[in-house]
Amino acid sequence: MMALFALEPASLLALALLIWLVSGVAGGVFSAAARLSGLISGLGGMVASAAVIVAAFEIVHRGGAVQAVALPVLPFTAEFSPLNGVLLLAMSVTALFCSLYACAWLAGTTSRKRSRTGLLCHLLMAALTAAAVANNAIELLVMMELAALCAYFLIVQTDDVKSRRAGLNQFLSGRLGTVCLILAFTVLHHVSGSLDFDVLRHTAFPAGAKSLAFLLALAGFGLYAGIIPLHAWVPQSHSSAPAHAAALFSSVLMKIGIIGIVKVGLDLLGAPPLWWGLMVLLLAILTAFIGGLYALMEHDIRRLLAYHTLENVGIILLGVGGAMTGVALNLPELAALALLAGLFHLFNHGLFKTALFLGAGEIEMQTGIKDMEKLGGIARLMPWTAVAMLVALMSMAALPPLNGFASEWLLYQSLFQLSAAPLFIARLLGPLLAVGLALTGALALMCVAKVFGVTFLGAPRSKAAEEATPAPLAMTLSSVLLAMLCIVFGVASSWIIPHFAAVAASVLNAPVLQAAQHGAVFSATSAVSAPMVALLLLGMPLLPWIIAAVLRGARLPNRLRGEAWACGYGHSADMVVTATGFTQPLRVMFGPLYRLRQHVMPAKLVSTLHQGWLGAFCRRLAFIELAVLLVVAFA
Amino acid sequence: MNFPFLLNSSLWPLALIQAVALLAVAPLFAGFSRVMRARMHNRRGPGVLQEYRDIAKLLKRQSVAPAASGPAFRSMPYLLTGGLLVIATALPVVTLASPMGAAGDLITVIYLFAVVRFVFAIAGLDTGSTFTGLGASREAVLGVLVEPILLLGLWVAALVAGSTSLGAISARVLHWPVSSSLTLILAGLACAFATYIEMGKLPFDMAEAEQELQEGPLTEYSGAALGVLKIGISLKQLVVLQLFLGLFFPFGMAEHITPLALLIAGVLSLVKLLIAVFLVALVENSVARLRFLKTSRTTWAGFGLAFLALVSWLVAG
Repeated sequence: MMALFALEPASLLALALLIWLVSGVAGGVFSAAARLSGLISGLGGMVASAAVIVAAFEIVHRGGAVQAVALPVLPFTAEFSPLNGVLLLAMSVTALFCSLYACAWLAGTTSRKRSRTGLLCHLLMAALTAAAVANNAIELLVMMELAALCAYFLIVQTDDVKSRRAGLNQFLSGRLGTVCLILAFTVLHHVSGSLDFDVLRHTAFPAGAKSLAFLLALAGFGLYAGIIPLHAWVPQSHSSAPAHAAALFSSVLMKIGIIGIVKVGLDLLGAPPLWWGLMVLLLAILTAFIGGLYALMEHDIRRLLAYHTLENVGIILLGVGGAMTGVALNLPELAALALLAGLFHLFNHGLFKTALFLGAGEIEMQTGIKDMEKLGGIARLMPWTAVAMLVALMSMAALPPLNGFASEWLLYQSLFQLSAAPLFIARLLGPLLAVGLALTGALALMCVAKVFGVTFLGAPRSKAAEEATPAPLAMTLSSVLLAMLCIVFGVASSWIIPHFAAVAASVLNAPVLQAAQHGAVFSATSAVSAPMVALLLLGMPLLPWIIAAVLRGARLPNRLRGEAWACGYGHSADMVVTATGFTQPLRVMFGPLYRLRQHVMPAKLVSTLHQGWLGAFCRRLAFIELAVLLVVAFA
Repeated sequence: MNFPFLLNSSLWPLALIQAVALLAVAPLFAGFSRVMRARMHNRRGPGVLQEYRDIAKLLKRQSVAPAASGPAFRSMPYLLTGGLLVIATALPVVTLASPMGAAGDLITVIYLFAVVRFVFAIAGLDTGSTFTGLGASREAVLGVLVEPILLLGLWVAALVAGSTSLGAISARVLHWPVSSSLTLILAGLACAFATYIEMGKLPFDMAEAEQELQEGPLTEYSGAALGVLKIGISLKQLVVLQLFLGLFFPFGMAEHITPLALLIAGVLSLVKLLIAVFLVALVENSVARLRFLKTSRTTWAGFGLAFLALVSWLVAG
């Protein structure tokens, strides 16, 4: 027990896991006392996340080769590498703020929900933390399965038709993913005779087995990460679960899938052949584009954000695929830059997406509305939430100088290097992928303008939206602090990127790429200085303001009055452009792509699938599986 | 690679000077465009300086806004103009290298334009007016249509130059590589197309369509705010045009900083802008506006040009 008090990464992790479990159970036991229970759960989660953050810093900082370390007290051997460290960091920063949010959220809900949500979220985080540092395939699969089941129960908690459907989708695709992964590791076990990552890493696989295992693993991890067309479970599940749980799905659960692809594609199986990289690149751009396109047509804020998560998964995978292609083409600089961009975007996505989900949760808590068509004018009533959401939305649309821009800029540079590669297919794909990314960026810009404009600006569209009040302090603070981190990681990106470069280098076994110096980020072909851009963007608007102020003199002050002009007719609330109206032109222009959904997923098939008995059956199955897995995990 | 241009200490005053200079001459070019239109309509019309007089008058007036509007609406004219000024500092205007290397990168500039578009769009949604909302929507849609053309065209030019920094592209085009002539010409045409759309002139004046949308997102602005917005929009046209001219017509721009070279480059850049504005006015006054929902068919032509540039680069390289 004493070992827990030594501040080693291993003991910190064990401590965190124990705190998660204990505070989750304790929160459930005291669920009758709303505030106390919320405080126990929330604070427990925060302390545990903080412990993991410290541990992750040490793991990343230590760098170097992969180490296997036995955790004290718990029967678990962990694998520490900078890649795992970055994943832990991205997960626990998210979890920290989700726990802060949960403090207030749990206190304001029913006792039944409180005990369940608190426990399930903590179990989810504990399982995923263990999965992030698993050192063999069985540990990884058991923990991922455990997390997926927790996610299932979080989704079906709100007992309505949509949630049941979402839960069933998630349950089926989760099990399918696990089956794919089991098959993938069976193939590897067949050749190497072991499931330990360290043994796999040093085994030379025949090309056929290697590719088969990669394809199966890509499908399995892809189902978790939500690569299109394997994304069926993503949109509605993010809307049905409580907001902080949705944030955890988006920035933690799905990230495990992405890191799984990195691990299998770049780490365990040795140098990837070219077609793996190209396939990942194509899937990535498809995911990013379709995710961005479908997000535009959503009115439920959280479903919209879930589609944007898919878009960002695509963007991260562009980096991963670029790295695989770089390794295959023997272009170490491209590989290092692309992986750096992917990992940095993975981290950044966690920051802004969590801020957005928590912000959406605040609005939902204060108004009871998820549909943005019925909101409007919230910025005046919940100013801090609005500011946090604005920053996070701008960061999601990769606007300079925020963190989304910092990572996408690196990604564009890696695509530029891909375009200049000597191979024809790379020269063809590089520019087209860049165009795809730019198109996705323009769609994202339109989408964030829609979200912010329709939800926060203008006049309220419903009674509930008119009467909104600011959310409890803990909630507001959670999204505001995350938004501040978005600014910091954007403006100070040149001081942060070297750390990610070191991680990318350790995954690729390559020398560290120098990508930042003197406040500027650069690739071999160009450079940008985020602090300078930030300074200019802050300073330049002063010039027109001064001109206007000087010329104005002592005239009448500005005036706010009356209604908007409507060609001389009386203005009425239903004239105002809605989210649907705002995006209507694109619905027409991209019509065929929107109709794709109906063709690919015929309504008849779906409704057969969702008849009552299957859902009820899966629910029982999930209970049994969860119980078995918990026993297995603790044994 | 070394980046001496990044925070080039000798050039940053020039960056600010050129931004302010572009801001100062923007209404002049808008006025010139007005005169051209009047001439083509066989009217006399007001003089070249009319825009200045309009703006000066507006800046002295009170701003009136609908009650539903908030800070996004009020701050937009300043943010829009400011964002464009940031881009203006980074453009190669009289020097071949971008005077503000910190922002003088292709991707950065494209995303800075996105910032401008974002503030424009959310201000349109902040008033509760139908016209401003539709204008905002159209502005965003046009962004989706133009972005691929602009990016692919510039990307191919950057590939020829081997760098995405604006200065490197200008320098490469100045020392025209004969083997890439076709590629550069096609890329230039595609960018010219995208530039024209971004300038918001007929047949693409979608966001501010004067007859059907009554100036779109500008509808609710009045007084000083409208005055600043007018400067901002004419600055946008000039900045977009200068981005194109600076990259694809860098002839006469100063490679080495001497007073004489700067003077020649300054005069030449004004002449180039004047010719470009003249050509734009010719096109603008000889076409009718497109139907908005059919615009995407026309923009395919631009994307086709950019794609041809890519193909010719693939074949040549």
